[in-house]
Amino acid sequence: MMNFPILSVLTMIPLLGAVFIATLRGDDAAVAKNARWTALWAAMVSFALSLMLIFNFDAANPTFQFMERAVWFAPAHIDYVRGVDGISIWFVAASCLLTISAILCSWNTITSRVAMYHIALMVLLTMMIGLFSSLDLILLFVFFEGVLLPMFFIIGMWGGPRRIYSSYKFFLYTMLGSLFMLLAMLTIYVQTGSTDLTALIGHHHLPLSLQVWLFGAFFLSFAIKSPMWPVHTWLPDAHVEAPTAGSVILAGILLKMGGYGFLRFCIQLLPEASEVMAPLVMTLSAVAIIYTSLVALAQQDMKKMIAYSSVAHMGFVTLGLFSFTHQGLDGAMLVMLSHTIVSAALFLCIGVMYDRLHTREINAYGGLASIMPNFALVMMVFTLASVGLPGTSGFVGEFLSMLGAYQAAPTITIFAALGLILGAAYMLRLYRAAIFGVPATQEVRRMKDLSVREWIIFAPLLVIVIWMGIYPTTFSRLYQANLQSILAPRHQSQGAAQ
Amino acid sequence: MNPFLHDAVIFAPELVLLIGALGALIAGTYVPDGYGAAQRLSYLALAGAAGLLLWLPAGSEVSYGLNFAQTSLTQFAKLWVVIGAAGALALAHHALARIQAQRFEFPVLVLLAALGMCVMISARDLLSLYVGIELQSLPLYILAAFARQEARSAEAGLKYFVLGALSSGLLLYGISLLYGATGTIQYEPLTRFIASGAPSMAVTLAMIFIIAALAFKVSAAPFHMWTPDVYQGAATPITAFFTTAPKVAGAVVILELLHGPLTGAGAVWEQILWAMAALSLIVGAFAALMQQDIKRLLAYSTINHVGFLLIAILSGGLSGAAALLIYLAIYVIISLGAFGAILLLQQQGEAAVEINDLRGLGKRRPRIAIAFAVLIFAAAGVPPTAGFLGKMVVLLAAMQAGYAWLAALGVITSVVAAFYYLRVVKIMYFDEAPNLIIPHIRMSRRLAAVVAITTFVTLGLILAPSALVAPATQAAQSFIVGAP
Repeated sequence: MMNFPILSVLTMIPLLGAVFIATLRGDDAAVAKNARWTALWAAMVSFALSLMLIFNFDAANPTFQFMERAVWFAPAHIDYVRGVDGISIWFVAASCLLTISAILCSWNTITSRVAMYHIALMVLLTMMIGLFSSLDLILLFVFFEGVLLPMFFIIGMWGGPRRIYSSYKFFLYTMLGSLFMLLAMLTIYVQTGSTDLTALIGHHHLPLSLQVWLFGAFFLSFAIKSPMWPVHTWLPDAHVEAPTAGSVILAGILLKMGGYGFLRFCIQLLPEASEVMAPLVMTLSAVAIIYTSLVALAQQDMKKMIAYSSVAHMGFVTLGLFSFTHQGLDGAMLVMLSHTIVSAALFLCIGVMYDRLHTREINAYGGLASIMPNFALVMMVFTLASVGLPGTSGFVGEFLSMLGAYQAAPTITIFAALGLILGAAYMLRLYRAAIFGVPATQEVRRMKDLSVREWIIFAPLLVIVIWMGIYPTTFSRLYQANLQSILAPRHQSQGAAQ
Repeated sequence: MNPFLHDAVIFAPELVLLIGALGALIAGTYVPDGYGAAQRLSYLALAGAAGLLLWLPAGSEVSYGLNFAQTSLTQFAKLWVVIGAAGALALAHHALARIQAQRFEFPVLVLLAALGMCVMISARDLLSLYVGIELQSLPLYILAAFARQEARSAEAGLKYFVLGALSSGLLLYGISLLYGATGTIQYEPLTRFIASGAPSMAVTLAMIFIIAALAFKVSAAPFHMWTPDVYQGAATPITAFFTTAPKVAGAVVILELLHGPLTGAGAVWEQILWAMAALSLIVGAFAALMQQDIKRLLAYSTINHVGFLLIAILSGGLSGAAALLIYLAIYVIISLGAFGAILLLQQQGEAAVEINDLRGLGKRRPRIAIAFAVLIFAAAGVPPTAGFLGKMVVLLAAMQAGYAWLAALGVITSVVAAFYYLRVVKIMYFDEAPNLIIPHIRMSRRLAAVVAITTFVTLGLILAPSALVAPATQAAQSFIVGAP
């Protein structure tokens, strides 16, 4: 079992699916049907394999597991190194799960160039799995940038009216950030002679002045990706124009690339610089939480509103991460995992509504509670999870991350806490306007409740949201040892100072 | 060994090319299907030369009284010259038939130009270099005007000739100044002389002339003015040839000169080189934004690539030389593929002259469109394509040599360049397709093969980059070790 290259296989499965879809021939309807089923099976097999990873994971061991190593870039000593720890393993699984949701939610709505659409989704899944399970800087960068291409096509080909503008903005914005990250990675290589994260983390101490520069480059990249205020402006555009599946992946996984990057590169690789810069990052997070919550409050477009709320939630992630406390890091992880499911689910909910009425205006709906009772229930759970009601996944993470942040920076945290209230305000406004009240038009009255397919999409997400709210240990258990080892050197140095 | 034989073995790849060119010339004159015969002979000669380049033992060998060297570096560079020439021949077949220019002179001229490039690369004295450059340039001038019925092509030929002659004059002037100042034209004594003290005024002036002339040949800004016009005017397969082989030869010669005889004057040429690199990056990125013609767009994209090549040369050392070779090889592959895709489209009855002609291509010609998109993304340097590898090794060399700001400029211009590359993809895939009648023409096997191979290599290289990186590093090693 230990020698089986499970991560490489996991990465190759969707890619093989894409190749298979590309070879499909025949009339359009048959190709479309086969493409959908192939993609679905490939995603499900990937998900099953990722669950196998989780079950075989040794939570007590804080090092990377399921390691694979091969010569890649021979003369330069840049190797193919794969492996996961308790942090990244969850993102691998989440990528597979949300890809299943993405395929199912576009089952009937994507009707043009179906094969190509599913190829893009499959390539995207490969890139996401690769990104979260790569332990070599350059290899990781290849996957990190590789995500851009399929997403560019998904937004640009199957998006809304302003899809071209949005896809360009998405691509160029993130490319600019990530190329500076590449320069930072190359600098690390020049300085240490290695790009292997397992060899770099905790073994090489770069001078602080250099670390600050590197931090700046990494920070720019991840701040754009996560996104943080003030470089978040690509996100609302991308979300509004992307098809539902695109929004699901974008909010669910691509934003977490930023959070994961902060954790892996800023905090683990450049700990001293991260500490120096922490006040700045925490301040920016607090500004982002309040500012984007206020902006979300003013939106008429449901997708835009959820997009802005994502920026706010990612603010809690960075707030918790840069507090350098165990609770803060734990909370940040839980916020990320919860937001992965909840934001994806909310976009799916909006997709359900959009499929029926073809508008994203909040005021076009109303009274869905009586017309679509099942849907109203589902959406309520996710709305409350987004607000952070105890008993749902949203509560634990935000609470812990604020608890951690309060120890590090009380004033900033108090301001950030305002965001919780604002979050409740805009989410409940959305829910009230869309679900309660009287139906706005005759068309709304004719909307049908959830279909079986839609139930299948929502059921696993509902279970996870409640589970994570009631017993988060199932999830946080795997990465406790990792968080300990991240914070251990810091505690040691503090102990030495005392 | 017999000294004649010794020299001949070292000169063997060039000899094969020379014999091939002369044989093709004779065959073309006397055989009824002159073009076909000349073409087959040329393929044979190129294959023979490539085989010899691969088979000849790696190592430094000098012949003809120190004037001609065969090292791993020259072998590697010549191999890509030969690949560029063979690619151009393969691409030209249908395009020449369409403009009724299937004349046997074409393969002969391509072979002679390739021979000139090989001589340039191996030259170890300035006059051999000059002869090589002229042997390269004269066929290229004729090729630029090869579609002689078209006014644009004639204009391209004339423009290229006038400016090219000027640059040759500059080169010769530089060489004579250098000879006047040092009393030698051979690389080895020159190296010692220039390294012996601060460069005199004459040496500095001579160096500026020589660098300017070579910069013209590789179309580095600000000596790039001819490039867009010639690229647009020349027949497309000939443009493909211009884009690939001469750039390899020119860039490698610049590397050999600057890090060879002119090493001692590094303080002077470093400034010239970084200025040219920065300008090429900027011109290549910004001027392309407004282009409507595909070939003009690719011309500016070439100038941007040349900026990266110059960064690699400037960085120097093992990593810089290796980066140059890796970038050149990948660039040759991408360029051949991109021009191949354009020619394949034209062979299929598409206009494919303006970028807007590609509208709706994603639906109309899905297979060619996806190949072209891959190659365009590779030119933009987006992972996981091979283009990314090229950019990465150059940026790495720049960081190692302490040119972080040039690397940053390269990165920023890459984002600007990505904008126009994305525009091509957008037009192919995102824009509404016009209602065109699609004629059903069988794909030319030759063109389809070139496009398919280049596309797969572009995509697959990331899986085994060592296949290119290892020999390039070995070749660079021979250069660094051989250097004084």
